[in-house]
Amino acid sequence: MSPHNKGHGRKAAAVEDSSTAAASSEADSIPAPAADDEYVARPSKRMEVTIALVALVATVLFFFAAQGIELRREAAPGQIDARFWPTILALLGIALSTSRLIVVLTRPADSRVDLEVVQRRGVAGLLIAIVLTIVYIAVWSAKSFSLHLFGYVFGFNAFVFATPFYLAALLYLFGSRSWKAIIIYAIVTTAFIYLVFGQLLRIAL
Amino acid sequence: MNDLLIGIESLLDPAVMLSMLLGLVLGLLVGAFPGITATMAVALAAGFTLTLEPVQGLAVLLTIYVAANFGDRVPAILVNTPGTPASIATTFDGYPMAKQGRAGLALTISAIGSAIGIFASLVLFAAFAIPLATIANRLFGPAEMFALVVFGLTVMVSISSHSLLKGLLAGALGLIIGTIGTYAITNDERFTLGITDLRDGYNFIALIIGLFGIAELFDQLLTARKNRIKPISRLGRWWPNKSEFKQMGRPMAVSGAVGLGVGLVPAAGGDIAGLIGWDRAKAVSKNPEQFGKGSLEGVTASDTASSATLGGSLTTTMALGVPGDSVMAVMIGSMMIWGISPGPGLFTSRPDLVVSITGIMLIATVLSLGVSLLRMRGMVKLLDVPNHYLWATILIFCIIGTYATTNNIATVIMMLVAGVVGVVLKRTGFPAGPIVLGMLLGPLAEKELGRALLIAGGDFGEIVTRPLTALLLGLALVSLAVPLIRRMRTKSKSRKDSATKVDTPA
Repeated sequence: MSPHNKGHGRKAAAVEDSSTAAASSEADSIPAPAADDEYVARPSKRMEVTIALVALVATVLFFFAAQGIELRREAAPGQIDARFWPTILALLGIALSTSRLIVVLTRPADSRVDLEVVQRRGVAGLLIAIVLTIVYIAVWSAKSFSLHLFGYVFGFNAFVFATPFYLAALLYLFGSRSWKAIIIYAIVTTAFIYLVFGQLLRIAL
Repeated sequence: MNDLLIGIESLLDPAVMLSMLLGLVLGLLVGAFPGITATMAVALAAGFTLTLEPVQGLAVLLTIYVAANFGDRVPAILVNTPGTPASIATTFDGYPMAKQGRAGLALTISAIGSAIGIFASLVLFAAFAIPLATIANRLFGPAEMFALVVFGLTVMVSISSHSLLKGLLAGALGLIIGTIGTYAITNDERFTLGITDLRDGYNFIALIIGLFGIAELFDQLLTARKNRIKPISRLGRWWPNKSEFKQMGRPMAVSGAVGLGVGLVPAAGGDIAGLIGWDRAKAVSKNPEQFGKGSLEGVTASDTASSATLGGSLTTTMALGVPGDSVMAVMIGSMMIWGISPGPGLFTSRPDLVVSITGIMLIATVLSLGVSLLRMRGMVKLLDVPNHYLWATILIFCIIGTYATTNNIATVIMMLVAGVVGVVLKRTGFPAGPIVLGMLLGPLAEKELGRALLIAGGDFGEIVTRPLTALLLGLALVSLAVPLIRRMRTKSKSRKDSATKVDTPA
């Protein structure tokens, strides 16, 4: 494999997937570069079994929920009531997830060549990004607030106040280390969103 | 004639032109950045276009759809990474050409091939959309519409996943989500959990931004690594000479025909057409041995085929109401919010829309081709933009785009939850396409089945034995069975191959 192909498991896999799906007879002649093992997610039987079980439990619960739908009136002859379609879907879901469970218990786990392996730093980064987003939304939902300083009252639009901090934190978290770039990006993007969406399109930010 | 004039007149509105320019910039950008698909961009833009007039909104979304088809070739050729799945086959010959110092030529040929593919597909759309809708309107009753919806669903499910069962389960999840809200016939509430906002159903745009935008972003954050691949910088000559233009003729004709055909199959997209088109062009080429090693014909074939699906996909989406691909599934959702319901009735009530849509796609193609040929050098520089700007921008625009749909923070929270669920589904191998298709087609299937059963006096047997219904349901079964048989054959072939290898002494 050439150095340029390194780390392109996802793309290589996409080529493999689609060629299989699209043109089986032609699949042999379509070049499908081998995925780079180092960066490709490993198959996991435990994960497949867990997911199949979750799907089965969820669809069974959905079946009971469908039976519990309150009906205001009986359906007319030939008419389907509010429970009919969800019940059909629940039964379909139960059949599919049971089949899936049997397949995962009796066969090797599916290949995951279309997914790259999760990085430890990636998990931490994602969790921090989610927490930052929740905090940002919480501050923004205040809509406006005032600050008492030196006997003066300063009123702030919560969106304008919180967005630059949020963007700066995200940029730092995602790997930018240039403070100049972080500050300029955060301010310019906030100003752009506020002017275009808040002022021009009249979205109540 | 009157409809033609109305259609053209709507395009002359400066706001429509402005919308197209916006779509052009966004489409080229998303195409050029690997990892941002056209579906994600259209989903994101849908949040901002809800307040626009339908033609203006269509101008933004359709232009993104077209322009992304041009932009996605740049990373496919220069970094060996498809910008969107539609350019997977472009990497086969585009990247080898770039390594040989012929990147400029590959980019130009790719843009020309894409433009000709789209032009051909627009002829198909303009010629067949209204007749197809008229036939469907005449022949399709509720029973046939129900069968058509089932067929559309099975096609997408069967082609969009590694595992057929996972694809079907994803489709079932979408169908289940589609039941949330009030059942229109009897006004009974279903799965609203006492939340008033859910009485009118869930927020479709929030869910698709979560499933396509946030989930993809979260997955990139989870898997991000430091070693970035440098794009090829030696671009070489740009414009093809006379003999090179001549070489493009045959693959263009063959793969164009493949693309037009694949586009008409509901839910089969440009990625599949590109692969089949590349393979068919190789079969008829005088130099098949050069395919995969930097063949100009290979680049032409893959890009013409994948782009030629656009018109066919648009035809099935607008005339039958069954999405041609994931982008079209998202677009149907937006159109419904504007009060336009794609399906057999649309073009009989609004024939001017065919003119508007064709005009938008035509202008978008010309603009994209122009920008691709003139500004390709600038687009190449986009590949150097660090990911952290991209990720932060996507995240904030997903949030603002979702908020703009309702001016309610609760919608943003719903979008984030959909994103977290989406990334879990993605990591466990469940595709998002069938979920969205299920969400869209589920209520339609229930409505049509309800009407069909009412007409048939509750006799399901009478519905499935109607000739057209039986044909469509049969096709649905075939579309599920074919991938299964194909996979079983591939497995037994690989088993045989490995057995032969073991038997053969070294």
